[in-house]
Amino acid sequence: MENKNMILLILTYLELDDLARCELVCHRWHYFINQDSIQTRKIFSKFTYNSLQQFKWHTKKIQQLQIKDLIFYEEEFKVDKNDIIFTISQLVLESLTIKLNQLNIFDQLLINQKQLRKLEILMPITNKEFQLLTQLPHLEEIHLRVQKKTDENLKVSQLRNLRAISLQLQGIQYQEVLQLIQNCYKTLTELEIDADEYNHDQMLQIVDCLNKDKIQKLYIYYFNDYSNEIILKLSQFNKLNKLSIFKAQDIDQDYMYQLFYNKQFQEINLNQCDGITNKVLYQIAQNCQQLKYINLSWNFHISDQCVSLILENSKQLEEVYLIGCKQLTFDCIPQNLNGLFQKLRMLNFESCNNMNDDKLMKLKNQFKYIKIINYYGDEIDKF
Amino acid sequence: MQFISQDDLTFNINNKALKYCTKVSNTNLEVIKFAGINSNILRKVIQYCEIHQDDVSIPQISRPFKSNLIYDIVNFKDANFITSIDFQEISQIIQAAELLGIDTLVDLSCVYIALKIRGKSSEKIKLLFKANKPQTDEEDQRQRDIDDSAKGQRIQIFD
Repeated sequence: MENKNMILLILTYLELDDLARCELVCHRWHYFINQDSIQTRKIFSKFTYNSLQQFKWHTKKIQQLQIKDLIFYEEEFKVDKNDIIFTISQLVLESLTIKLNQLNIFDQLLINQKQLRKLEILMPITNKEFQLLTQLPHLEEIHLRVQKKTDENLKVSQLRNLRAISLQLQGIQYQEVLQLIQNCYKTLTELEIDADEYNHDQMLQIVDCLNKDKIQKLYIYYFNDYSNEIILKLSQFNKLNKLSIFKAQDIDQDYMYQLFYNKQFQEINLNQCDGITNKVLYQIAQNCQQLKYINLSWNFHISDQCVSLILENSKQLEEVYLIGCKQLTFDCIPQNLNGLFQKLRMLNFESCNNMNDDKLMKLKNQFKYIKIINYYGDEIDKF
Repeated sequence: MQFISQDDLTFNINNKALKYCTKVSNTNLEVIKFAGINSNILRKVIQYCEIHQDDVSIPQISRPFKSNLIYDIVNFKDANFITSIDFQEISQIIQAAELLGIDTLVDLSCVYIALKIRGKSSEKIKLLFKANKPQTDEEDQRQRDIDDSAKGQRIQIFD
């Protein structure tokens, strides 16, 4: 009835549980799910597990198929650590995202993974474990996304020539961070950094150490000490297209304007920033052809007209956050919606007192695929 | 342009709708005969293109799926279109769409089928895909043998 390619195509749209059930439907499907092909490899590289059974079923598959990119979270259930070590040691990975809870096997997992290009670590690690990273000759991206601070002062400056870095929490010392950024001057294009412990001069130094002609993505989280000077330096980054500087306070309008003058952005996060006025927004609207994500939450000096202009001109827009913009009314949605919102999936108006729920409901009826959040933080049409 | 189906029915398709048929829209031909596509299917495929002829672009379907309802995942027109098609016909729609190069229709149909499979047990999935043609006794027995051996290989069961 249906040929092999079509069935494989449909299987790529399914999740792990469904695939396990599909395997049992008939002989042919069992064969499809277990044979090695590009499609099956794509299907099996990314999963998190809900149970030990799932893990065991999955490990067989990923070994058969020699997966290159793996995401692995150790969750609540008990898995034998030797099982995990054995499974992963059979693979030649290029990218690994890992979150271990109680098992101390990070070092053993990294043995023989010399082809790793990208590593994302979601749990705290020690210096001893970190040092193993220096032995990965192809490492290009390192993302440390830890949920809690530790006292371990990671010697991150041991790494060099990375393309993308994310440093969240873990309590890394300023000197180490600075050295790391300097080591990666020629290659770094993306940086995400938690900056709550840095003072103004330290941040200025960091920004100075970044390559203005290379940096495309810069996300600064929790920094409290912005100044016009820092914003001015940021406006000199001519390849910048993804920016997040929330809570940039005490900035003048003109400096913000300079930041967005004549630059095409894909992602902008200006949550709780000062100095965002209609003049700045108008400048963003002029260059928003590639804009996918915009967050203007808690900005009180912007008006309906300019927001509407942005919504109208950004054809690639996917997510819009306008939380807490109490001055906005439904007029910020463009009148003529023909051909708009093709890619839009999120429209968030939480805490916007002046948004009309009925009109939002009408909008939802017209665009069923957009998630629209109302004043109370509830999704419209959830009931 | 004109498309001729397997059973020799001719369909006209205007240029705006034609742009979605990426494998044929660049040729200079006036008429194309599709010997492998039945008129019912061809009619519906053209209908899909015409529904979208005035759209600038069709949004990609994002995964993971938010819910099990097709109406929550694609836009209203598409959801209406795909639910109006017989389940048995969908595989032919996918084949026709692949032949013509209409990627979004392939996507839409696969998503629809995937949603139908989602959450169902193996028995129910089998019923879903069961062909309606009557089987001979030998075919029945053969199918039973295959199913039995497949059952014997059952290793994990997920609830």
